[in-house]
Amino acid sequence: MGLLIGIGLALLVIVLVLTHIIVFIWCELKIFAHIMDRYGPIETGKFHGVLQPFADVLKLMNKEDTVPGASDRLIFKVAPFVVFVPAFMAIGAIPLSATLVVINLDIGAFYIIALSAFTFVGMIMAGWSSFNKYSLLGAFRAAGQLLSYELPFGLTIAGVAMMASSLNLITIVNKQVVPNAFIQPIGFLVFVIAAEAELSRSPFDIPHAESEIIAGYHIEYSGMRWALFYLAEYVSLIILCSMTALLFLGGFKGPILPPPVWFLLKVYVLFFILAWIRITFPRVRPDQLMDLGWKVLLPASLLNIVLTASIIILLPDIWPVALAVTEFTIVIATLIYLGRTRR
Amino acid sequence: MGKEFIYIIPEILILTTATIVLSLDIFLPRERKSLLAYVSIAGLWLAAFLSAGLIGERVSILADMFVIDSFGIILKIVILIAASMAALLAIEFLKESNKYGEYYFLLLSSVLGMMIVTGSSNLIAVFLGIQLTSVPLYIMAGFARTDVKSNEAALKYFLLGVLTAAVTLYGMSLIYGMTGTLNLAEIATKLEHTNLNDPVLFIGMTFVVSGFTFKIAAVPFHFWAPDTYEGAPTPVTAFIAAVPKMAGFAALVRLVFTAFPEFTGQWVGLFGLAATMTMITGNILAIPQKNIKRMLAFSGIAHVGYALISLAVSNQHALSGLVFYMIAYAAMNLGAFAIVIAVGRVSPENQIEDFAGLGSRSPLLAGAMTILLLSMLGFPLTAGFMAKFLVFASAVEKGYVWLAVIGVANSVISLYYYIGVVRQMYMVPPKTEKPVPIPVTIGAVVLTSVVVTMVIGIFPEYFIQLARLVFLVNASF
Amino acid sequence: MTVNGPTIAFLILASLILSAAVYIVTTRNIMHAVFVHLLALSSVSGIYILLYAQFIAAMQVLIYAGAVTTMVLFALMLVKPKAGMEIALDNQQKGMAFATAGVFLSVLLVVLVPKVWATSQEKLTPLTVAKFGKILFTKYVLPFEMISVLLLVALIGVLVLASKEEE
Repeated sequence: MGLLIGIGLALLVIVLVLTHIIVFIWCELKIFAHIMDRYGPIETGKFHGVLQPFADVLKLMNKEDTVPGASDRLIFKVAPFVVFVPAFMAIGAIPLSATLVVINLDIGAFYIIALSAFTFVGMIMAGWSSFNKYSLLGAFRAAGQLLSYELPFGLTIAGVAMMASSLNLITIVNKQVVPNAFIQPIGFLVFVIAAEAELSRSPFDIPHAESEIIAGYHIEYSGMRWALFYLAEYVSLIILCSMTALLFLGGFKGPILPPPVWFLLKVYVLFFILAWIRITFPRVRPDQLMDLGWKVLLPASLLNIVLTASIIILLPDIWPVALAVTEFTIVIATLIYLGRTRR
Repeated sequence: MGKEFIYIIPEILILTTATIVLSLDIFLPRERKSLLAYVSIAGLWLAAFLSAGLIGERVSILADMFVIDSFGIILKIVILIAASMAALLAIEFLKESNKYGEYYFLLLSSVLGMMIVTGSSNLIAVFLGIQLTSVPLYIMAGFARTDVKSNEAALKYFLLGVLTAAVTLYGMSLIYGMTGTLNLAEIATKLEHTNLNDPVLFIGMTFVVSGFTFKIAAVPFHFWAPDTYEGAPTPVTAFIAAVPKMAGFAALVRLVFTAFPEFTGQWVGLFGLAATMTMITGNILAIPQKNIKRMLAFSGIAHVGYALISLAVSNQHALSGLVFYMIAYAAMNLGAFAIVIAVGRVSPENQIEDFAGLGSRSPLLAGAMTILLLSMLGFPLTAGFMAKFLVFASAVEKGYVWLAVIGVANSVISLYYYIGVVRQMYMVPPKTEKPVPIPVTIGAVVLTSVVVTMVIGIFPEYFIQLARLVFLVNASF
Repeated sequence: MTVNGPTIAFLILASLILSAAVYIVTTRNIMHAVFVHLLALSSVSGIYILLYAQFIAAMQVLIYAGAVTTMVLFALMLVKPKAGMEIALDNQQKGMAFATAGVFLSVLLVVLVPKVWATSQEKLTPLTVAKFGKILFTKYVLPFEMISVLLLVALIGVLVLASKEEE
C-alpha cells in the first residue's frame, strides 16, 4: 500500500513538473520576444502560440535518435540519464507547504546540492563520449563553471542553515519571521548569482555559447536524448527557483492565500526575473566568470558565514537585527564604492 | 572544555605560527622572505619551552583523543628542537626558489602532525597525525620541481605512503570490528576478555604496525628511503631522516604499550624479527653505496633496526633507551646532513668521493663529520655509544642476549662504511682544491649537533635521567 | 542472516561495488574506469543510507561524484591528449603482483570468513544532522580540526607543485 502511494505521488510530481516545464517554456518564449520587441510564437494553437511547446515535443519525439559512429556508445547513451534522473530526484525534497512534501528529509537543502553533483559528471560523460572537440570543450567549460560556483552556492546555504540551525527545508521556512534575504543580503545576492551560473544560463551560458562552441556538450545529441538534457535544465531551473524561495524569501509563508499558492507565486516571480536577466545581459568571458566565482563570490560567501556565526554567538538576543544591519551596511558601502570607481 | 586547552597550547602555537608564516608570506617583500625561517624557528622554540612546562602532567584530554604524559612531552620537545635545526638548514637552499612561505608552512604542519602522533590515544588521531606528518613531506621531497630525481623521490614516497596508509586503515577497521572502539586504552580493556590468539586480531595488528613501520623505514617497508633520501633536496632529506621517525616510533610505542599490553610476550617475535632484518639489510646495503645520501639512508635504516630492539624488549628500561636513542639519532643525522649540504654546495653530486681530502680542504667540517660518524658507529664517549649501550643492555637484561649479539655484530659491519668516509676525508688526495665555505646557518647546526653528540656521550647521566622520566598514561608494565 | 529489505539492498549494493571495483582494475579504458568508479562510490553512499546516516551519504555523493570524480576527469583530459585511449596494464612484475594479491586474498578469506563478529545489540537510530554536528565538535573535535589542517596542507602543496616558476 505504502509503495502504491509512493508511486502515485512520484507520478503526480512528475506530471506537475512536466506541465510546469511546458508552461515555462512557452512563457519564456513570449517573455523573450516581448522584451526584444517582437511577437514570438503566434500561430500554433491560435491563442498566442500556446501549443508551441507541444508541437516542439512532438517534433522531438519523431526525430531520429542518432548516435555518432565514432562515439563511445554506452556512455553516450547513458549520459542523458545521469543528468536527468538526479535532477528529478531532487524535486521530491521540495515542500509546497509545511505538510505537502514527498520526502521530508532531515538534510533537505543538502540533499538537493548533493544530487546536483551528478550533473557535472553527466555533462562530462556526454561531452567526452561524443568524441567531438566542441562538445569536449563544452563539457570542460560546464564542469569547470559548475564546480567553481558550487562552492559559494553551498556556503550560502550553510549561512542559512546556521540561522535556522537545521538543514530541513520546512524548518528553515518556519524559522523565517522575516525572509532571510532581508537578514542576509550578502548571502542572498551570492546565492542568486551562483544559482544563475549553476544553471549556465545567460549571462553565464559559456558552456553552450553558440557563437563559440556551437552548442556545448550536447552537440551530437538529437531527439529524445537531447530533450532529456533540455528537460533537466528546466528541472534545475525549477529547483533553484524553489530553493531561492524557500531559503531566502520565506518559502510558502505569506498572508491570506494558502501556502502552496504563495510558494508557487514566489517561484513564478523568480522565474520571470531569471528570464529577464537571461535575455538582457550579454555573455561574460570565461576569465571574468572564474574571477567572479573565486575572487568575489567565494570570499563574499565566506564573509557571510563568518559574520553570521560570530554575530549569532556574540549577540544571541538581537542577532537578526544586528546581522541585517551589518550586512546591509557592507552591501551599500560596496555599491557606493563600486559606483565611485566606475566614474 | 576551556581548561583542556592549556595542555595543547604547544600544538595551537605551532598551528598559529604556520598560519602566520603563510599570511606573512604575502606581505613580505621578495628579498626579506628569509625572515619567515626565523619566525618559524622562534615558534618552534617557544612551543618547545611551553611543552617543557607541561613535564610531569598526566592527563587525557579532548574526549580521550589526546594524552599528555612525559613520554609524549619529551619526544615533542626533541621533535621541535630537531625541526628547528632542520628549518635552519633550508634557508640557503630556499634562496634560489624564494618559496620560504610554502616551505615553512609545510614544515610546521608536518611538525604539528608529529606532535599529535606523540600524544594521540585514539587510532583515528594516530592515523590522521601520521597523514598530517606525511603529506607535507611528500610535497617537500618534490620541492625541487625541475629536478627529475626530486620528482621521483616525491612520487615514490607518496605512492608507498598511500599504500601503507590504506593497509593501516584496513588493519584499524579489523581492530575496530573486534573491539568496537578506536580508543587505545579501551581496546586494551576489551581485549582482556578475548582470545588473544585470534588470527583476525593478529592480522589487524600486523597491518597497523606495518603502516607505522613505513614511517620509520623499517624492513620490509624501507624501499622508499634510499631513493627519497637521494632525490629530495638535502635539507628536506635531513628533516625526513631525523624528525618523523620519532613520530613513527611514538605511534608504535602507544600501540604496543597502551592498546596491546597483553601481548608484551609476543612482541619479541614480531619486533625482534623486524629489528634483525632491518639492522642486517641496512648495514649490508650501506656498504656498496657511492652516494653519501644513500649511504646515510641505509645507515638510518640500520639505526631504526637497533632502536626496534627496544620495542622487542618492551619494558620501561627499553622505552627510556628508545627515547635516548631518538635524541642521539636526531642529533647525529642532522649534523651529518648539514655537512653533506655544505659539501654539496661545492660538488652537487653528493658522492662519497666528493669528501676526498676534506681533512685538508676544510679541517673543521672533516673533524665534525668524523665525530658524527664515530657516534653513528657507536664509539665510546659519543651519544651513539650510550644509545646503543642502553638498548642492548635492556635486551640483555630481559634475557634476549641474541638480539644484543646481532646488534653488536651489525655495529661491527657498519665500521666498514663509516670508516670508508673518514678514510676518504683524510687519506685520499682531494679531487679539487676548492675550499668548502660554511654558511652561518649550516655551521650553527653542525656545531650544535656535534656539541650535543659529545655532551650526551661524555655526560650521559643527565640524559639518561631525562629518558627515565618517561612513563605513559594507561601503560601497565 | 535474515532475508529482509535492508539485507537485500545491502547485497545488491555490495555486489555493485565489488563488480565495479573489479571492472575498474581490469578495464583498459581509463575513462570507463573513472565513470564506473563513480558508480562504486555512489553505491557506497547507498550503504550509508542503509545505516541511517543520510548526511554522510549526501556528503559521499557530493564529495566523490561532485568533486573527486570531476577532478580526476579534468586531470585525465588535461594530461592525455587522447583521453580514454587504451592504457597498458602489463609490466614485468605481473606474476609477482598476482602471487602477492593471491596470498593476501586467501589469508584474508581463511581468517575473516569463519570469524563471528560481535555485533551491537542497540537499535540503529537515524543519525540526524544535529546529532552528527554535536559528535563532530565534541568527541571528534581533534580529528576534525586535523583534517582541516590536512586539507590546507594539500591546497598549499598543490600550489607548490603546480604553480608557475617565478622568473
